[in-house]
Amino acid sequence: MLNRIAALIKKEFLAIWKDPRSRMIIIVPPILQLLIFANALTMEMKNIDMVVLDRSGTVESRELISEFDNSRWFRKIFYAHNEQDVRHYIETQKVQLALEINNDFASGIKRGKPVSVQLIVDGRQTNAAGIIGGYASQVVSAYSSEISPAKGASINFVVRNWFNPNLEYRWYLLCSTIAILALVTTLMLTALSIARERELGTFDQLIVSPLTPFEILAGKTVPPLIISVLLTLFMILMSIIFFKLPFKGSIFWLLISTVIALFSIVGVGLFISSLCKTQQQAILGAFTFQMPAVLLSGFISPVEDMPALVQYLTYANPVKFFMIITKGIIFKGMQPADIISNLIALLLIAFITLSAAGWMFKRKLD
Amino acid sequence: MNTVEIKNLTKIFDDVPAVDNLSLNIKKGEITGLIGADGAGKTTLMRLITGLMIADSGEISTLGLNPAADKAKLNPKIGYMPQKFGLYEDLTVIENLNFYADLKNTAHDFKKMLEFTDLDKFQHRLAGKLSGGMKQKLGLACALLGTPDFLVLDEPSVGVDPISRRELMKLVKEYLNEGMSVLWSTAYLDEAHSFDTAVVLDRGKVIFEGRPFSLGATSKAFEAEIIKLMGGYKKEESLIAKSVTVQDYGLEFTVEACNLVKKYGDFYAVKDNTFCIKKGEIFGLLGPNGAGKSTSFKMMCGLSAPTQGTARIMGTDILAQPSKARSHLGYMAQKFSLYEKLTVGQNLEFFAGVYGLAGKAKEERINGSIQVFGLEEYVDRKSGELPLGYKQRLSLACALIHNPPVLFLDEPTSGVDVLTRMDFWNHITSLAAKGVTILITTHFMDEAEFCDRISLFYRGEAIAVGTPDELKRKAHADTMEETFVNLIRSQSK
Repeated sequence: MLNRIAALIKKEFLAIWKDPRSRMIIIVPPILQLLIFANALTMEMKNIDMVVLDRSGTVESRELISEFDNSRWFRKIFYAHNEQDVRHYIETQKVQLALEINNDFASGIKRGKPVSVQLIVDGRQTNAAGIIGGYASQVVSAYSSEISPAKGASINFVVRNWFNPNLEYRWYLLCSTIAILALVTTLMLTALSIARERELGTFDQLIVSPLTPFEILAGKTVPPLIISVLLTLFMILMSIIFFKLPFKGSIFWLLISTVIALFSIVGVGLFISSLCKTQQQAILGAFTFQMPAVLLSGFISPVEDMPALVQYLTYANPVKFFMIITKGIIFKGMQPADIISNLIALLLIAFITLSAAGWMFKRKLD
Repeated sequence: MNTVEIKNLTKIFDDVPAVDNLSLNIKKGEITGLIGADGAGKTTLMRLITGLMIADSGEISTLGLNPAADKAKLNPKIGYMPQKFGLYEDLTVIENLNFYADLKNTAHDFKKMLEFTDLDKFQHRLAGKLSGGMKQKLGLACALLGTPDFLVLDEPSVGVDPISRRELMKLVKEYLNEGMSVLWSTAYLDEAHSFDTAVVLDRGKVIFEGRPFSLGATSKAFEAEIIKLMGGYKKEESLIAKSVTVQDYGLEFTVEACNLVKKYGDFYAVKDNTFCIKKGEIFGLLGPNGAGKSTSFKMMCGLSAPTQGTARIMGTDILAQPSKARSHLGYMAQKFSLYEKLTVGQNLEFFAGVYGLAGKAKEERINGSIQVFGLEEYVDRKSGELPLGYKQRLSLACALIHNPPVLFLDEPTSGVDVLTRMDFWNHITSLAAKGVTILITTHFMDEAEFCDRISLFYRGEAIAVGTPDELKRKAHADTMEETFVNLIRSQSK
């Protein structure tokens, strides 16, 4: 039996390596994408441009404006003369924020009465709007506490970000990107493998040989698994060297987790492949799985914020567990007990998908 | 005026001439047969004539036009049916016809056409669900839309049974009366014998052009002459068979089918089929397209699970103990289905490994195979790049790598030239003589003569089983083709 599996594994490696397209899939896109995403994608807002409508025109109002000017988030400040101007700046997306100061601003402050300023944010970019609003409020409240020194007790809060002290967005992004790229590559390699043989007629040849469905599955699982584990480790290594990703956890657990997580993705890929007659169907199938798997992984929005039903759905998503584990191990040195509970979920997914794939071989006979 | 006039035409692919300094005239109002094996240059020549390809040198005039320069003017006058006609399998018969009529800007009047092709009743069936013969008829009907002056058919009869072939021929002849010219390519020499003019191609050159009857009075004699023209065939001892040793398992019947049934919904693809094949026997499965012979064949090798009944190989049930049963089985698929990206050596190594050979025994066996099958020159070539005859040899080598006592062959010779076919059958008969049991399906009626026994399928049932001579007597026929047609006609009455 081992001989037969070994023959199959050797053939799979040769087939992947000899096909220029498969060779491309495993080398160029993952590394290129890692570099591009790490440098280009960011949710941090820097260099925000803003417009100011200063109806007060006093020392106080200029002080507030200079607070904005001096903060590290805001770059350019335009001055508007009327409401139309403000509207124009925002509509043409020249600025993301508008600040309006009323003419009773200075007199209110002098009399120690509360005054209001208006902040207008471009809501077309929902996410950015929230962040910019937050920054602007911080600037305003800083100025507010400056001009009205505390009378009696007050609470000052100090925020500490654990595991990622400077909230380096790139670290978060790198971890997620590695998991996603590993998913895409592994899924493509495996989803195509059986469908390609079906399309070319070689799968019949395998079925007619003494290979059992288990042996075929084993032979189809090992090569893509080895390739994608090596690729993932390489991407992590690159991130540590070039992007100074902090590595807090144990290499041993990272290795085990990567193998098991990718094993479950291989299972999903082979299951998709076992359902498909042609490579085209397999590619469509892989995409159908890929999009929701990435969106529901917690990468874009936290799983805890999703509707309850969808949260249950994410238990079938290997990418979610993979992201939890990689982030956990790399950032905070996740404890073995926590790791293992996630690995059990991944093993279950692998077991179910691979059994289903094996069962499909038998059923598809017809 | 001739329909096509060709002078000194050459077309070269990767340094190999597909059409080599060829001159030819195709007469108006006749069926001209273009005969040759895969790779002889038939398709290339047809594509050059229709303007789908441009020649490297030489001149062509099709219907008085230059196909390369005046393709737009030529298009409406030509009906071209490529080897795999572009039927839309997800559209119905009538939807396909409507589509092609729109493309050719002709009226949607298919009444006569549907009657001719017998597709009347199947108008609303999906093209993908038609049998091979009916698909070809529909393809032909689409090519005939707009009554072209010149009909070009690229192997319309490949994979089609003798009855459907006759019907296709009848259909084309009806249209000839209206002054149409036809160019029909084929690998079947017996078919070529019935054309007005036969043009035999070999390696891009015309080796015979003229009335087929002038070369041989019967199709057999015609074939013999063509073989002579191709350089002649000398029967030699089969090294392949010589290298095979069949263990004696003490079984009388090595392959058994017991009451095999295959049902799709209410439709019986195979009805209660039983046969037993003796050790060293060549057993042929014959029948029209869609009669159930492929389904039976698939059930025998475990590619399809029977609804009822069992198939046994060397006494082992193929469903109960698939791995054990299959270890006795050598299998060669219909189309070349080895790994094209891998080299010849890697393919052999893979199959040797899959069949459990290892270490020194494996190495010896692989080297032996390479020698016996004459593959030395090609060991490091990608198998997808081999000439067709060698692909077929490699398939056989892989099927025989584990020295199996039973060999299953699914239309092993389609598209191969006469010489290669004769050589192939020499090996098969020698293997059988050594005690290898062989189950084979084929569309070549002359090949059926090589079988020890034949099972003729029709509508899911084996309507006749026996030796070729027994069947001929039963059908009062001289040739296998006539036998086939007579037996099926008498059954369908």
